Amino acid sequence: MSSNGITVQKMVISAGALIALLILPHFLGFHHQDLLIFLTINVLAVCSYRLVTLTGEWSLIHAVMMGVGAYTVALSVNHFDLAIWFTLPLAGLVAGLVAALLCFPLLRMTQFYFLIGSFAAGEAIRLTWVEFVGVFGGTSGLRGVEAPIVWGIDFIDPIPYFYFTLCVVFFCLFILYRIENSRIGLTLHAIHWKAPLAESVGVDAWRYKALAFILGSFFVGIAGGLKVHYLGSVTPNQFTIGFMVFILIWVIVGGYNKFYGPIIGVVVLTVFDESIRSFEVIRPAIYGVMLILSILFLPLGLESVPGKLKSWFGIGSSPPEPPLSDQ
Amino acid sequence: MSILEINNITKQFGGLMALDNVSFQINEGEIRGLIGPNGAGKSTMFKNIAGFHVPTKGSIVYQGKNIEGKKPHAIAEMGIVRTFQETTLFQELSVFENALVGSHIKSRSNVFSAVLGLDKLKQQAASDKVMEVLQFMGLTERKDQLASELPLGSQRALALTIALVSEPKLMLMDEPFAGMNAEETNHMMDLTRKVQESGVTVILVEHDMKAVMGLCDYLTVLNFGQVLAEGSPDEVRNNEKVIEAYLSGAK
Repeated sequence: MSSNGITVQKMVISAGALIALLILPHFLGFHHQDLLIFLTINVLAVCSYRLVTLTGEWSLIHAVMMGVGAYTVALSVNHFDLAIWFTLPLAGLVAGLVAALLCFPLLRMTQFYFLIGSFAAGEAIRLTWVEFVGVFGGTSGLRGVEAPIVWGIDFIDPIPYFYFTLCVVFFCLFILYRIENSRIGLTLHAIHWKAPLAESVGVDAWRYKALAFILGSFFVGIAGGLKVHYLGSVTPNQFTIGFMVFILIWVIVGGYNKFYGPIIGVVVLTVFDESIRSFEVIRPAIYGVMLILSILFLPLGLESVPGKLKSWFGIGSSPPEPPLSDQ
Repeated sequence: MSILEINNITKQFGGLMALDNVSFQINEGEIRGLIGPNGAGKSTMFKNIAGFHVPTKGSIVYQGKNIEGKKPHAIAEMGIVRTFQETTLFQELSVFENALVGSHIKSRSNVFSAVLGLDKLKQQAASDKVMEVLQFMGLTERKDQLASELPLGSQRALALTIALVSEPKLMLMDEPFAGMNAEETNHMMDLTRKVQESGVTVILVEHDMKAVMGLCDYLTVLNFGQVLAEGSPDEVRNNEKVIEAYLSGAK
């Protein structure tokens, strides 16, 4: 197998996938166009979550951080009429800032305690939106966020907004990918596997955990901003622990050892969930059974399926790959 | 000239006195053995020096600066690097990546230069350094293997590599010979001497007396958290207090 052949093959597949993505919305109904936009946004949510988990700490505040971005956009559009070029970075910055402040109490904890601590902090923020009705609109949230108009294109139309979302998400994924495959990514992996050893050669583990948490929150804040620009409203109920559990499921079922694992997870499960819509009342049960089956039989996630198929059918040998093999 | 001064260090864990008013000095360029029966406080002493524990009382002076109570990463940045008991490695990373983590202090980068690729020169220098040390340690051919796939001797050599890549001035080695056969022990002794010859001061906690006697310039014996004796390997070998401490431990 020549590496050249693989590169060409990869490029052809990527180009094909990109073209398919570009023409896809034209073949979909209105409902599915909506779904496609939310799916694209959720891809950013799971990939940014993966950055946080690289250090080995799983948080339960990621969904709320998405909400921080969403509320930032809603407030900045409703009160200051800011353009989308400013609101999205602002959404990221505010979410990153909130994360930076939360680092001080949260990163004193690790493992299970960090998980619970992050959940508590997230609920505190979410309940602030519920209780401070004057600013955040209470349980009914903020409405009337007008769809942006860029270069004469009204983003209330799903197709242009889908293209816009795709660009923003691709750009963010590119940055996330570069970070993971840089020196910083190596250091985050090192902290995950043996923090004391990393510290013994000068790694400030606390700072790197904080960095991952802040960057992850920054990008999910942008995802939240993208959502509110399309929906036109934001409520506290969009960012409950229920949505957080979905993020966890997407990441785990897709496989969190590789960069693209969570993307596969969110795409496959969203399409699957949509395809069993006609089963109505037993839909959650089918979904649950599928989850249990996939975790039982694919503990490394859907990402590991091609490798398994190859080894079953003997197409080349596929040795277990190390976590940093994307490079 | 002393590179490290331990002054009246006391470390208490609740009612347990792990270190009791311990003082000694390490000379620059030597290999110092820190020996004593189990529970004498050797590893506790290491952890205090490397910042993993904060001493209850006393001071640790490294090159004229107090370091007691500093964080491990800050102490590493000053040039003190420890290795760990057993085989503490990044098992899931390759040999090369393991060693590369060791170059953190000189080649860490910020988010902007990492994303834009502005740190290329720095990263190239780091990977050159890593290749040089892997060569020095005889691990070049294994650089793409996972750390977990290495035999014990090579795992220890890799642990030493990670520490060396960070270019320490003082290296604390915690039981580097434990569980090794004679051949691996000899190889590790050669490596340790090479480390010393490259200008690194070494402190060694070790139970393998043959290795300690053959390698160390000077020994400090701890017993029940106190300094029992100090001297050259020959002096210590013939010290009655030392013999008694080891024999009573064996009973």
